[in-house]
Amino acid sequence: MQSAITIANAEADRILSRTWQIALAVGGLALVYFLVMLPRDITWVNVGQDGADYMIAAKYWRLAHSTGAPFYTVLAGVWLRAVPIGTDWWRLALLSALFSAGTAALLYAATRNMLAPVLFLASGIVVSQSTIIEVYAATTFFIVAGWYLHTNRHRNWGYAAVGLGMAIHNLAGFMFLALLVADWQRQRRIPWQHVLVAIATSAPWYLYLVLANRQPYINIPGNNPLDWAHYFASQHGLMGGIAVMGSQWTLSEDFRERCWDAVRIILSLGPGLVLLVLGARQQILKGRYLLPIVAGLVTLYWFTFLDPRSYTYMMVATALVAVIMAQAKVPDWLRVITALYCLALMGFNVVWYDIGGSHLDSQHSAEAFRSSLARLEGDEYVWSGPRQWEAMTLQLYNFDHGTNFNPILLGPTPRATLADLETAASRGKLYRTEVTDAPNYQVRIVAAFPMQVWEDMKSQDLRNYQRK
Amino acid sequence: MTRPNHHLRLPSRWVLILGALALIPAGITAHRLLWTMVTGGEELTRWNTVDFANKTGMFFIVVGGLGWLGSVYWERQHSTLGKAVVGVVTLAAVIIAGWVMSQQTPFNVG
Repeated sequence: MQSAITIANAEADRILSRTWQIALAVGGLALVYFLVMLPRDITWVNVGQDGADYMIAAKYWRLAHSTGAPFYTVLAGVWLRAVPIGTDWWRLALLSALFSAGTAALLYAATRNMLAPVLFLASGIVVSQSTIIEVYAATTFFIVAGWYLHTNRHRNWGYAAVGLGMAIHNLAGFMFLALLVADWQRQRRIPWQHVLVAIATSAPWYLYLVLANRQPYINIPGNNPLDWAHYFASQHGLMGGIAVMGSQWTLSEDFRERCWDAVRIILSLGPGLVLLVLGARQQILKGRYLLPIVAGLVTLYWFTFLDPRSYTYMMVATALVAVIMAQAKVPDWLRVITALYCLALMGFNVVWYDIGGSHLDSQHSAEAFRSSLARLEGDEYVWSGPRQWEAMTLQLYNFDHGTNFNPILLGPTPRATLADLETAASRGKLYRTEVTDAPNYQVRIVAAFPMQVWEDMKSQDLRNYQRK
Repeated sequence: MTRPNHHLRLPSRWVLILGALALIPAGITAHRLLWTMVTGGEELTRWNTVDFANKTGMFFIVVGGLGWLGSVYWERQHSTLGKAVVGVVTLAAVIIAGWVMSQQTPFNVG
């Protein structure tokens, strides 16, 4: 009997070891796949408007926009200093690629099925966020790691991983709450030990925000408690903010656009959609609600978010849905067709998502914008409207080159009054950016008139908004 | 507790084959159209047209959530009186929550 158990344990260890060897290979191949598409230097594409913001935070130990992503900032800061090759931008983009490669490896390890990582890697959303400076690749990794560890009975480690995710982005909170409810249902009591583990691995990172906040203040007006309250609450209006009704009897343009986005995201699963429907049904019928519910909640969160760019949240849902699809009990031929379909999409991605390649940012618009700043004296006012990625690029330029551009950021303390603008204009130092080619992010800097900028500022300042 | 496996019966083979095959061209087309969205091709034009109208999404989430919670408790009631009480309380909660939200500042990002 004893020897039978020993043999069974040895066999289980062998399978586990082999699973991780394959998972490691999957992660390695995924990393190569992303490496092909990384940008050589600064870029704004793939909705990476926060890239300059995170670069300032990591490179100069500063505060990123709310809610700060402190764990990511510290990790990125260390990574930036530890990796000796490539530009700053390439290095941090590589960090995103590493996290997504890690997620692909975890997806294989969790399902022991190649379909899960292939589905994840084929997604346009995943590729777009794994090749730029953003937090979603890291957030997705910690969410999947948390679920995987928890499912494999390493519950404290699972909560620790999700806690690290919560020190990056609030999306990890969905998984935290889901694990909590699952444990509560099983034990019929609140698992306080696990809660404390999650808090202990997430909360201390937020001390970084207090330590990093200093003049010149970025993303926060000052350093008093009210400033902090404003900082953390500044984006809550975006949640659930989409207008469903345009007028009394019509759907709003935003809502119709969001439906179109959803159709594209869902349909791009192709034959995998059959796996998703069957897999989700099977999970629910078996009483396994966790993955469908978390994926559904994240989807709902995105769908009702005001900012259309929050499609990036769907990266988390994509990873969870890949597990559901890979675990679906379906005929093998359907898996093969789906896998081949995903491999074809990956081939498409390598060409079409290659940043700086022939189809995406071939003119290196952000680099061109940065070069154009060198032709100015360095103390001009530059108004870039709602395009905060341009304003943050100006801020980054100030930090990198010691210049004093005023990007006139909107917020609780506008960086310019009408008098400031008139004074700047009289000295020939008032400029604005003008979009010359929207799909390619091409902009140029042109001289501006004070009233023109002022009126534009007022129209963009959300505090001036009145109910329609 | 898990349910018996006959609940996991698959649709007919031909439905699966036709569905999967039909979704290949649809999926490739959607993936190409998704490219313009996820690379930011639509971003600059869209963000300027965002309608800061109201928090209808949040409105539906809260009201829908209250209604769902009410339906859970309604199902748990075994008497007509119990169901009626839960129904009235849920309706009142939905009306009050909807009214309160309709009074709030619609958008508060600054």
